[in-house]
Amino acid sequence: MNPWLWADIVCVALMIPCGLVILRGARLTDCLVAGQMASMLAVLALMFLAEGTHRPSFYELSLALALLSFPATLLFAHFLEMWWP
Amino acid sequence: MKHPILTCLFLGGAAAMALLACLGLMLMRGAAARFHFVGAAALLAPPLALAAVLTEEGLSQAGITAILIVAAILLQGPVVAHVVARAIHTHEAAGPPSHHKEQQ
Repeated sequence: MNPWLWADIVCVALMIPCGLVILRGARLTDCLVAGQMASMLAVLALMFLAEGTHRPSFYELSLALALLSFPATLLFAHFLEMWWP
Repeated sequence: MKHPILTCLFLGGAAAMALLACLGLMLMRGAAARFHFVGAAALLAPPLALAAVLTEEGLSQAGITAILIVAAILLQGPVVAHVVARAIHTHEAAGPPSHHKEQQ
């Protein structure tokens, strides 16, 4: 275990509160906010995993998630606003 | 590790920011209040993580990819904040959800 993997474990563990907020959220906007936080944590966790395991190719996963979570959030917020006012 | 103490400091800072943001996410009431903590985490934690990677790797392939990742997060932040805040505003203006109205 190195510090990168410890930081990775922290980021993965912090997704649990985000999941709890999503499960217990009274409104869909709470779920959207918690999902946004979870996606940011997942990007960081993949980055730490790539560095902790000394596999630079794993950085591509983190980059792909960072780029793809952007349109995903935009679409989710758009449809949330349009269909569930 | 080239600078282990510095790397651990940056990593600990990034993890602490994420931890504080998650605490705020759980403790606050309302999506707007929660979203402030997400915004703070998205602004502070990725640059600290990038600093840790650059301290370890320098401008290697991994370092440049990490710069791209953090640039993507920081550049999309304002747009995401605007869109999510607008969705929250629309929902809060519409009042409580229908199943809550039925319970009342």
